[in-house]
Amino acid sequence: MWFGLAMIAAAVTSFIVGVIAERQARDVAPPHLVQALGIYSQTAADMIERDGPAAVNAYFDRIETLSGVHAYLVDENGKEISGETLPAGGSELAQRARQKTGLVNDLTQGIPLNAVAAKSPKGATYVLVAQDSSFRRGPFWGLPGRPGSFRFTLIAITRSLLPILLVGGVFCYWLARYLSTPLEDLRGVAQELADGKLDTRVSDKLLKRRDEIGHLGRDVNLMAARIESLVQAQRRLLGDISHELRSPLARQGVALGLARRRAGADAASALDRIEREGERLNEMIGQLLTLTRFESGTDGLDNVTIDLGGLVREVAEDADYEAHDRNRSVRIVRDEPLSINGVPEMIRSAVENVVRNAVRHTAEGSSVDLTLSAESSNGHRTALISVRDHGKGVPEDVIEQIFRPFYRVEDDRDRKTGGTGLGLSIAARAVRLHRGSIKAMNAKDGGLVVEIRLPEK
Amino acid sequence: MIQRILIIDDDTELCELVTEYLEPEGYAVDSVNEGREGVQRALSGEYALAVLDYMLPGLNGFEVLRQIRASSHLPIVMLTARGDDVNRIIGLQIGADDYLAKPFNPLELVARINAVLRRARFSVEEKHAGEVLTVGDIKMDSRTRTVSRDGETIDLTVVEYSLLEKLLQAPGRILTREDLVKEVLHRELSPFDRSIDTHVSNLRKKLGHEVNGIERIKTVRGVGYIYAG
Repeated sequence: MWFGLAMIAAAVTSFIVGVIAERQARDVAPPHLVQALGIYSQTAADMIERDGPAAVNAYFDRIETLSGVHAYLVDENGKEISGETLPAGGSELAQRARQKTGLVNDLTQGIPLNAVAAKSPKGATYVLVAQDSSFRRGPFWGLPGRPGSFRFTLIAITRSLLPILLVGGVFCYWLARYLSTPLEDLRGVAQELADGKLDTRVSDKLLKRRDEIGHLGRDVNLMAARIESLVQAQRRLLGDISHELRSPLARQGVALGLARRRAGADAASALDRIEREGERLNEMIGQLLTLTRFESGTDGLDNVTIDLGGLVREVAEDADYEAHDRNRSVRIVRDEPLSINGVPEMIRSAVENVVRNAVRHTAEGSSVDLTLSAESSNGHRTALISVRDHGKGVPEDVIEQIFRPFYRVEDDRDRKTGGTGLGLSIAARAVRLHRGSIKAMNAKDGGLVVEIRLPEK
Repeated sequence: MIQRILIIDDDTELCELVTEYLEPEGYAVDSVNEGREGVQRALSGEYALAVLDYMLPGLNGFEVLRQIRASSHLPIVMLTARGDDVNRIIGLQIGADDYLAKPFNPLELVARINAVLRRARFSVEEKHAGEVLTVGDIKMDSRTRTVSRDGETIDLTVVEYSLLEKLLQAPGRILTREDLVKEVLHRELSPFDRSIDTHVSNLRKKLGHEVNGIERIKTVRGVGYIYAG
């Protein structure tokens, strides 16, 4: 594209320059024209004094028949010897001719004028003013104009240049394709990597090139392979950590079962306590691993369309089932079909953590209310998930902090109701990774409202 | 008769503890710490049930499961990681009868082992019931424990077979998830437990989602399933 533009710019500029130059050019003419006009001029000057105006006219007629040049002879008083009117610009040109030796011309007229002065045998200066009536400013592809004129040159150049331009144009187009196709390929690979397709690679055709683009392609492939193996290694590591951290807890669980069997009634409460603490540890491990996975960003690569309505309904059902054990419930108050783009596991985790937190804090016999709706502003649609509980709410001065890892509102009941202090920070992280927002506020009639906003697909 | 249980898990200490726990419950227990050996022992025919960990050295847990299932209906309870939905679902799809997340309460393990064994016992007994159940394009022969659709035999796991049987015995009626879990998996439905849904999904895949344009097994959200085909 650039090359083509440059060529066009150059051509246009030189055309303009040529036209201007020729317009400005003065008193320059091809040598044969100078010679011819010089001869005509001298012959006419000699003839006028020897044979008179009639002879000169006859001479001029013959010249016109032979060469198409229409000539006038101007005497020292500026008058045409045969009484013809000079063409426009003729008298000025004749003036100039008298002052200058050699040929002068005026190319600005409709038909260019040339003039040469000559001295008669008696010493009088006569000026021959010539008009080439065969010169036509006709259509471009008409007569090429006078040899030596700009138009002649232009047409000659065009005739030889046109094929060059055509071939050049084709070459430019091919060159542009040759450069932009591999760049598009590289761009495609980069986009796929960003979207999570880690096994994407540059095409073989690009790799075979021996130029800089080929080098770049090979380097991009190396980079993609490295990213893929790093991400896989990290996922494996997290899996291993999960397994390793849970093994001692698994053994402890079975040992606890054995202890219960063998121990007496008074040991029961202590054993219960051991079990509960083991549960807490297990939950914390799970959540820390989840938080790490989300933080590392390697999970956020597999974006798909998520049916939010379906997801919220599933979470609500499961949480409701769990809540019934503790004489509480979860229900959906409002529902709308909405879709977003994202990682389903993360969004589920976010909603689940907020809902479970609400279930933990809502008063006995009450319900946790979920709403799913759409908001519009500036042409953007946002999905709003709102979770409202009927608990004690959170003091205004610390309400911003509940999304921090391990933060617990300083309340005895908080510890007794379970939870690790990580759930809301996991929700916050997951929501932010989807370019959404999360915020909490106290409801007017008691309880906490947590609002999750996510950009709609 | 004492039933033998095989534990396939690389955590030797855990195997010892579980053995210690299960023996007073009336089972004889053997443990194996590696995948390939696990497959061999499982296929030896000595065991009534296998407990299989999903993460193993050598052959990984799913491969072991696949290989055992290729030639045997041996009841298998899979041990998975807590919160690891993906692996749990994969395990059930490959053919595990039930799962239990680590760390677990050993009482739960005993309960699930008992449930799975009870189901296996019923299927042996039902072999002699001599009943052929035909609903729509599906025919279930409980004498041979085979299922066919339009004459073509379909291969189902033990759980899938029981589930289909329950569904076909009450066509057009809603069966709740709680009931299905109780009667097919022989245990209580626990929160966030999607195992019965996975088995239904497996059934759908094997039998075909639709029959004459209508959905074969309809989901009634929040309640359960209906066989409509």
